[in-house]
Amino acid sequence: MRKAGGYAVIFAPDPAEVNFDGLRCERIGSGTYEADTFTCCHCNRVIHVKAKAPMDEFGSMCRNCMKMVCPTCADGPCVPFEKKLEESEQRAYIRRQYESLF
Amino acid sequence: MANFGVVNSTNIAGQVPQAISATYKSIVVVANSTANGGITYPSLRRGKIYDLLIGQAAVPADNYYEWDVCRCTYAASTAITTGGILSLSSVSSTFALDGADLNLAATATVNSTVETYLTTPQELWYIAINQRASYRWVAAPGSEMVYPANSSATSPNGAALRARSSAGTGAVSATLYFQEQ
Repeated sequence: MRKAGGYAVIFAPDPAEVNFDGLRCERIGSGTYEADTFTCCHCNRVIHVKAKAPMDEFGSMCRNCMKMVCPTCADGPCVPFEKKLEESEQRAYIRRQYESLF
Repeated sequence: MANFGVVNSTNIAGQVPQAISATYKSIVVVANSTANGGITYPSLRRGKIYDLLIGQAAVPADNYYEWDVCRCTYAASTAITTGGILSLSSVSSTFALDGADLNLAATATVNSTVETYLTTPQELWYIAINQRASYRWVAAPGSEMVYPANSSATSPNGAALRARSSAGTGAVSATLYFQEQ
């Protein structure tokens, strides 16, 4: 895929079944198998992409972020993962401030 | 920003890799904590996992091993040795890939006998491979698996690399590289 978010390498001495992401099971040949991956911009999940597979088989694209999202997030609202991180850290920071007061 | 590598080898702190069973066990956990060993509170740091290597240290056989990385919530008040895991805080100075960097700020544990600090696991990464195969995943810059700089016991603040197998009972090996920011 173009602008892959990462890559995965499997080395198997014999042909083997591989379950990618809990979404699809595939038989790979012996030797080295490589796959591109992308990281969902909404939940941070890593998805393995089969070569030349149509996009709707492994996720979608958020038209707001203009980045790839996983099948789980494909139908959800656009909440960028960076925003979730900042909210989580802000909540923790406020909680620590309260804890230091009492 | 410093890069670190944590492995579950026996040598790291004397904790022997566990035999895998049908229920998940946490192989490597990294998480923010106010009980960390490297840098004192409140220097919590955001962590980014950018490289994973996994394999099965078992006699070759055709068994299915499932691996995943989940968000976990590490509570500072929780006993560090829960479930037989071993805190690596005492050796936090040994994980930096560049020896001139600071000690690891996160709490790290390896080779738990159970899965740890997981309530409603959110899987960031999952793969099931044959026992004979090994696997490596490398993130491109900007696509790492991230855990927040958060000490809260109510929100995810770390990541756990777990493994299970319905048939295999061998040990596993894992290396996890991450960056603290």
